[in-house]
Amino acid sequence: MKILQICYNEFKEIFSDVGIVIFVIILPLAYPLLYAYIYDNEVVREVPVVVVDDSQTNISREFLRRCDASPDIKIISHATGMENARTYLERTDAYGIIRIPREFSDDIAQGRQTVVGIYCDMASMMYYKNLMITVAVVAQDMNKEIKVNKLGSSTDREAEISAAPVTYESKAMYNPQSGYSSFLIPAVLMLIIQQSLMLGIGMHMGGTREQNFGFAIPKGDLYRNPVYIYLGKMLAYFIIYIVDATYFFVVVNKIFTLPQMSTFGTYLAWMVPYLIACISYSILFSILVYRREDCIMLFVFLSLPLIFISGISWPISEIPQKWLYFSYLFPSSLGIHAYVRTNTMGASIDDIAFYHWGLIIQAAIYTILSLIFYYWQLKKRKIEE
Amino acid sequence: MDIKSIFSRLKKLALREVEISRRRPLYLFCMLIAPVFFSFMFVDVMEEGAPNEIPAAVVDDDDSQVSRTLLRTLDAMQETNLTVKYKNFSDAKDALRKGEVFAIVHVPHGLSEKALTQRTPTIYFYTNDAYFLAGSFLFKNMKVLGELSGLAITKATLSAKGLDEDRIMGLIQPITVESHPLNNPSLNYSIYLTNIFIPAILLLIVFIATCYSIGLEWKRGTQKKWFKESGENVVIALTGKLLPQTAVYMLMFAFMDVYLYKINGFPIACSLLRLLGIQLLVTLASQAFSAAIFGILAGQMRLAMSVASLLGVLSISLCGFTFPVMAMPKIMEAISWLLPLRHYYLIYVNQVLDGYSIIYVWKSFAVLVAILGLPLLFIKVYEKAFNEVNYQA
Repeated sequence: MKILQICYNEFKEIFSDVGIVIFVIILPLAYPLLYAYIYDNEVVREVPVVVVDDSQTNISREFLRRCDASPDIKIISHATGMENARTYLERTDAYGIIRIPREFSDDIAQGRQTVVGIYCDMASMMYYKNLMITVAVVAQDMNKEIKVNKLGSSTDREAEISAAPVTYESKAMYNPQSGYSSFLIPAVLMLIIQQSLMLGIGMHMGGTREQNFGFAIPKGDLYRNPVYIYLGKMLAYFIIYIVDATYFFVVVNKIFTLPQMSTFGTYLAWMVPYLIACISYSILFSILVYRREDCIMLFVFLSLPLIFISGISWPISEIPQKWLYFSYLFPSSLGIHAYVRTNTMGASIDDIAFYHWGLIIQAAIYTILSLIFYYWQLKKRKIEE
Repeated sequence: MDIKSIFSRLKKLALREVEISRRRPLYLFCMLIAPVFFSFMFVDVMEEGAPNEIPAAVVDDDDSQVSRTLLRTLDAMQETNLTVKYKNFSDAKDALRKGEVFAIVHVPHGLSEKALTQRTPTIYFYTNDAYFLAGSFLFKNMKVLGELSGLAITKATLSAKGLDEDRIMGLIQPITVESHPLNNPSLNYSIYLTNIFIPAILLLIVFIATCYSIGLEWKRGTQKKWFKESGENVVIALTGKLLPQTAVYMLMFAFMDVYLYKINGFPIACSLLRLLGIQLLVTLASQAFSAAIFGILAGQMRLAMSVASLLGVLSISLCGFTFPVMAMPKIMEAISWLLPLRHYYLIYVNQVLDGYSIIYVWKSFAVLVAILGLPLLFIKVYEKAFNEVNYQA
């Protein structure tokens, strides 16, 4: 009963405090939509490039026409030479240069290998990726045709080599168009849960401390048992966040047509320990918050390092062991992978046993530490009294 | 007020600010410890520059001399780690789903037989693009392998027939592509990411800390005293308060610059001094931006900090260094123009990465300078806030 009473009080406090409501309800509702909107295009199209065509022949023009026809890049101008082309890059009117050498068609006609140069501004890897893949694909297609043409006037020897001995097909799994939001949004969603909890619970703690002369627990007979206090608080935030999490699963994924391979049951199977881990972790680190606004100062800027260290962008296989262990301190590092693997890749709960158990262990450890914190706070107050 | 009294007031306010922050470990942590720690973290984690251990699975159903040669070629490529071999495709697919590998190379049965009888077999590559960077890297390698595998087989046959190297390459691959990633030839991700990550975190801290430290005056009820000491001049009050913080941020930028460009040898195309100048301007602009937010929301500390956080976090996306701004909705492109980090990124690319003429980024400088004047628009609101507004939770 006391637990429910405490939980009820928590609810009352949360909903009478605009600051906390913004963090635990409005932020989780609005942020995913904002981010999904920013990355709605999924991929970068029509990266502007200039060309330097020193060959000026039918075949070089055909090569460039095909490059331009690809959706990934757009030829905005023909430069008179490399010097001239470079000025487009300097003015950031273009991000890359395709250079066709003077000998281009002669080389091809005479069976010599010819080299097309691409020069790319490295301000963003996306420019490079688009330019490189486009030009490589065009070159590969034209190579095939050139070989077939030669086959027409073939000698035996040439016939032997003309057909490609091996072809290949590649397929991007789980994210068929290699989209940026399909990759990033799942990570952002999981980070939002953890970070908004830290902010909400942190602000709540700051408020409690401001009203109670620095103590983390309100006065009154209700607040005597650390287990009750913990469970009451946990229950209140858990109820709010299970709604937030359901909203992510049901609404956000649908609106932005993000991949959804997981069933709701699988989602809940790891989401429950994830929420408990995040809530306990937030309660624990709210120790650091003495004023309501301190939480913003302390926790907001951690978002970028947390997403980076989780191994969602920089591959997990490349993260040095010590940093990997460091990342396991944060529920988000495990939650992000659990979500991506079940929801984007269709893994079962058994497939993500490592993350699932990791979250359960985190939940347990942070729960125990939070209880110790409450126990210590109660003891400290008793002494003062 | 004459110059002398302005300076004495500024000095007094600055000393007052130093005294306030000295007693707050929160400042110490956010402004000094965290940026240094994350600088070490980013550089250390990406020490290799390019990912080279991403595990990929191999399913060799052909199991012939030809297929083994092919797979050795792929394994030898720097960024792929073909340590995991699977007996059949469905096992490999399970491993992909479980995240044990990030790509599968599938050589189907009959490859060598088909290849030798001119029936063009196909190799299949699967990459896990739920992990964007890993997927992109492996895709690039697989593409190269696809090309190489064909070449390897034909080359062997032709060499056996006595054709020389040049002739062979001209026949089997008439057009080749040579790529020149300008100013980052090894596609070093650490150079690409760390150069923006660290300033992004620092400027986010500037955004939040500025609102926080101004707001703290209201929270502690000392705003009137502060205002009085400034001679009831908003500009002097803000300048005196924020300049000591500017000094701390510049210390952090100087640390970052020395750590990245001197100690770790990151390439830099302009002088360190010029870079510091750029960083000073962007720091001041960020402080001014944040002070303006506080002005707009006169005295509402928490709300101002929330808005500063929102815009600060958004800046990291909208500066456009991972996903270009040109591919975002137009309204986001417009918002990005207001954000100091966006301009820092543009100037960084122009000056530090590429070393082009600074004239090409004059617009970014103009915007940053304009932002410096932004708080002036809210002097009246500030004055009102000093005199009438009290802290509200």
